Amino acid sequence: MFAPPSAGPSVPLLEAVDVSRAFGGVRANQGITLRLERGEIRGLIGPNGAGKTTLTNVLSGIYPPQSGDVRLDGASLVGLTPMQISRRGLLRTFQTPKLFGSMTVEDNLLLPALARSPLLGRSHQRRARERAEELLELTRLGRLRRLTARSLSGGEQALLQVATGFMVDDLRCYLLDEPFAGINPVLKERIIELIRHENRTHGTTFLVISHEMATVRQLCARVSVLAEGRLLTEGTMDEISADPAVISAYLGKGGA
Amino acid sequence: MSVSAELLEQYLLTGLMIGVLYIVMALGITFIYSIMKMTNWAMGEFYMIGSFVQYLVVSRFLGPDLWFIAVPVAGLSVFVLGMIVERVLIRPMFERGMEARAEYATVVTIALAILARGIVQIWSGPFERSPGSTMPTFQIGPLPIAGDRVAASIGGLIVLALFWFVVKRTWVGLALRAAAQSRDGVQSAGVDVLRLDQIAFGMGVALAAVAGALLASVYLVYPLNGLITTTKGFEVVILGGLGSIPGAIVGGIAIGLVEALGAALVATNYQNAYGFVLVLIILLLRPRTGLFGERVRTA
Repeated sequence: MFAPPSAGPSVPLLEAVDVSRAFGGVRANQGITLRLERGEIRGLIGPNGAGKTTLTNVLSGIYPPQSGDVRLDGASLVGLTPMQISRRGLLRTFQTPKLFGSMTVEDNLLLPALARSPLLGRSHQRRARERAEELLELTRLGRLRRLTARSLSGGEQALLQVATGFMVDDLRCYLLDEPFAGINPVLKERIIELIRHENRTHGTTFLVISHEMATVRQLCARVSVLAEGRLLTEGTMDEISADPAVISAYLGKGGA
Repeated sequence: MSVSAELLEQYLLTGLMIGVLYIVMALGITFIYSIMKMTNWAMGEFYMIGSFVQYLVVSRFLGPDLWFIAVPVAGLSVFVLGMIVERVLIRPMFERGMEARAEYATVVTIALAILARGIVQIWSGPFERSPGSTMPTFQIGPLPIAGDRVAASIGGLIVLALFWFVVKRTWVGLALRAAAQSRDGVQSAGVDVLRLDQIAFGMGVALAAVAGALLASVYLVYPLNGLITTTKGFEVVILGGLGSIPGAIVGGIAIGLVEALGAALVATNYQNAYGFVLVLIILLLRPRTGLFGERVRTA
């Protein structure tokens, strides 16, 4: 409905071209160029303050870039509101889950189905319910469905938060900001399973920001590294972990 | 001054019944606030418009026997009117993303209230009208109760049940509950919060209109009839806490009962003042939140 016609396979799904964003004197993003191919699960890593979250905010329209362009399927997103961007199929999560605490798990899942219009047609309602059932099963949150989101553990909340995005009909690109931070291994595994399942069955493209190297290695074929607001390098996890520039970025200049 | 137990019971029953309609008024105010974070000072004018629709439909088309068909007509037409008013006058305050937009919107509703009163005064004159009532007097035990009051409070209960159903059991209700919790949250879930504002505003003013329609034969129909009932609605909201639905229910019953007790034990002439006394007491005890309110703007 809102999606522009596909610009063909040669165009990356999500593209940041020479994106810059500063806050006062802090140049959080400086000329970053990043391309995500269709169906890719890309990792985005970097030390604290490298500009990862700023980049996510720029990509999802929270702040417009001060220069450069962001394109989804070849069409520029600059100047659109976060809501307009999410309607084009680019969604993001936040580091702290933004669930509706006093609403049930099930209601939290159903809410994004109302994204097109608060007045849903019958067939749309049925599809939303079916999809919510499927996600409750995949996440194994089904038995908690009637509990309020507030009563879930932190990990369960993170899992539910990731799952809510999959309720959006034409989700094409999903930016996950630290989905694994501080989460126990069992739930981390469930989030990974969920991401892989959606990637496999719906071809959803992911950009996963994380500090958890082992998880990124497990999930992402390619990884982009940010440091001090710039794109340092890209490659497989093996290539990157052998890169001296990456090592020195993490250990500090002159540290290695 | 001594009062017979029977008379007291009758006053209390009347108080409970009118309390139901105070709940309806207060719910409209509190519901709009909980979604839009603004106070709609034109609630009384939507009450007034509802009562006029009731009067016109009953006196021109249906006759007093079929008054109950006019009530949903009043509710639905003011719902649509409210959606239009929101779109044309209120939404521009929210769209531009300026500071204090809820306050600007609140000022708009004050202007709207004066405008609506003026227009209806020019059109209808200051006269009090009544759609008439053919409801018989009810006998509850030894107590005779005016039929139109009983009908109004039963109508109020039906409206409350309908409101509960829409908010708790429908998709729109799901979105509205979410918006009441976090406007940013529903927006980042991709839901159009401005559309929800429009629906919430329409629902809120429709509640006022239904109260006006139900009370048309009790408190009569004239351009300023919204003032007293709306004031009661705001008393209830202050008592129960702004944004709290349980607060609106408890507050509505409390104001209704206090008025009845005051009328029975002190004097009927000051009936409209007793609620304020209760409000003052509660504000002295719980100045920030009322009985159940959310703690906001402590800064």
